[in-house]
Amino acid sequence: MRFGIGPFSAEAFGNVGWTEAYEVMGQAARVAEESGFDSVWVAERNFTDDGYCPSAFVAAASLAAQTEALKIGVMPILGLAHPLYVAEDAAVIDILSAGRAIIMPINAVAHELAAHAIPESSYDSRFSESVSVLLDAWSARPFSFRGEHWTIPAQLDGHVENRSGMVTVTPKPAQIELPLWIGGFWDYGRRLAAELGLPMVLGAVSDNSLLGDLWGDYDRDAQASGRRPLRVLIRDVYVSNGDDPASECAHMLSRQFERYDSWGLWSGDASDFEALARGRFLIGNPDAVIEQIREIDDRCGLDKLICRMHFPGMPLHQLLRSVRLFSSEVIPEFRMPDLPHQIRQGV
Amino acid sequence: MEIGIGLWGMQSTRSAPLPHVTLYRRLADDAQHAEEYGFPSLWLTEHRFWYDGYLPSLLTAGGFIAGATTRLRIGTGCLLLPQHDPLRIAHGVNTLDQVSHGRLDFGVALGYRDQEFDGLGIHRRDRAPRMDHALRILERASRGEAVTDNGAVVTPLPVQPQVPIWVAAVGEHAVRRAARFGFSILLSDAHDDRRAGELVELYHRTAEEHGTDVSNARMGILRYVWVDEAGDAAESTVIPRLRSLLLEQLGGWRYLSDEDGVPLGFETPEKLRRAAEGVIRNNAAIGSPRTGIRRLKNLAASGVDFVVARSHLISQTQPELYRAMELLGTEVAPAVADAGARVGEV
Repeated sequence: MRFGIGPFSAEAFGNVGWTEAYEVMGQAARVAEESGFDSVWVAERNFTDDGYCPSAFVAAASLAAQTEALKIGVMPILGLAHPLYVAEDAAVIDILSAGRAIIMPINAVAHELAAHAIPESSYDSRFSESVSVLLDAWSARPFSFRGEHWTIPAQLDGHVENRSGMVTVTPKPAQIELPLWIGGFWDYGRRLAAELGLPMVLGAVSDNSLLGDLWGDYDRDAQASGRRPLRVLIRDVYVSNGDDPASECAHMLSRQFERYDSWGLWSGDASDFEALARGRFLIGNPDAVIEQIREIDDRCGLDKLICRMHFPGMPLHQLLRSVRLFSSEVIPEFRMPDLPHQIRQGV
Repeated sequence: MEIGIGLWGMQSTRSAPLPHVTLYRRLADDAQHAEEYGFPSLWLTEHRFWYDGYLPSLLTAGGFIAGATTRLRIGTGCLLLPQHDPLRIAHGVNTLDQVSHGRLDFGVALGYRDQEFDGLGIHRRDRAPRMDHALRILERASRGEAVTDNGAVVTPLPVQPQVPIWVAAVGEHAVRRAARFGFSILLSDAHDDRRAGELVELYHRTAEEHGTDVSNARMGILRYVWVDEAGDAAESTVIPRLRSLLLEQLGGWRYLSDEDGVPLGFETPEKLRRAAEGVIRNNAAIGSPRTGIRRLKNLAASGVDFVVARSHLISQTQPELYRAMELLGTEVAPAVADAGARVGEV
């Protein structure tokens, strides 16, 4: 199993201001790179009251400069602006990271659509057209695209230079096939991923009891591809040797889910932490967290676990303590399945 | 007069088809060297749908430079603002200013290639109103004011109370507009010193007529600059490179114009060649450090107080570039630091 860290989102909260939140992201990525993680992730949301990172490419590019081997996972919102902006940003970040990028588009939420004056009813098709444009734009061939929302090139009146009817988006990604994983945080996204045979990532808004069914549906729709689909899961993770690890992070996670609720990504009572945590968070001492991961892995066969370990308001020292404990005690159990028990026990 | 270093467009050209991965790895090295040689800023340039992979995503590349350096300011010289979605750019600007701890110099230009607008479904003829609209949104976004009809506010705010905005100004209209808003200007490498002086004067006259406070505005210009201890070596190696760059790139973009303002493309090779020679002879500072100092002092006398020195051409090696940058940063820049005076202060 592989491990990623993130998605980071750099909200300001409590004593942690925006600038510091971006520093935390960089420091955590540098520690993660030397601790057995193989990817770092940055997500975006627009127009939040706490400054949730609104430009994942910009923040992720800075992480690319501060690391040398971590995959750079970017989670841009797709379908708000013209998809070629995302295609260009993605190609550039893949090049500047020397081919380390993974692009995981996520769905816009209601307040973002409203700000862009986009009717919710048109969003699914905006998203799917955008995915098609990304794939066309990253291919090594000139292309044209005619959809309900976008026509490329537009060949507008008065434009004389391009009479070929084709466009070549440049530069091209460094990777021959830039990995495109679809954020499976909404029903349509999961179906689209299956239809296109693209990896689909389940996230914190889907609790453990749903994972089997969601992946089952995906497999059924995607079976034409004939390949075993990647199983990638995002989970909120906190590891501590304290007496009651949950109490050290509960307020931060509850707040996180209050926000998911307000954005329409999840609905429920975020104040009942025990109910919220059950079957959703990976929290505890190392042995407890190993057991929780093992349970999901036995059932679903995880390829990659992306661990969201930083929550708004968590001080850097607390984050790094949790990251280091996770990396020394938990990751080897899964990343090194053949680790001889003599080495594990320090003999 | 201050000297920033430019321009990085990340081009893998027909004559120097380096892998883009190599070019971006060098960008990080180049930025770290620029910081070491004391340059205040490094400037990126944007185009899209161009055969050589010209950088289309300045803010993402800016995030990369921010992660690779600590003091160097990051200039966009220029981001083609009318080709973008203003809300998306506002988010990118504020984020980059946070990621870099307040090191963004945000330069914008109209853009001129039909093909770039057309690929994005935008009418080129709308570029001026789109520029105005986007600049208004950026200003509101930097102050935490609503940027949409339904009252949406961009967060985070930038670190700098006001991210400096530079407007590329080729013609008088653009200079007047920038002066009315009090933005800094970036004049073109197609302007000779005399023309630069006229436009700086026009800027200050316009600002005065409108009562705009331009005390923080900078009068910038692009210049091809290359210095070498051996002045003739600078000329013999760099002028052919510059000539090939001008002909290959500017012909495709119709960047230069003739005396009547008609854009020059590949279909008028003789005129294009004459215009390119004019840029090389009149608007560049190529030679020994002494020559560079003399030419830049002349420029300073015309009221220009900031130069984006285009030492980064395309086909030079990194050691050649670093030698030229070091001389420029450590010998030429200090010698012209006190040159000229802002016209407004005279």
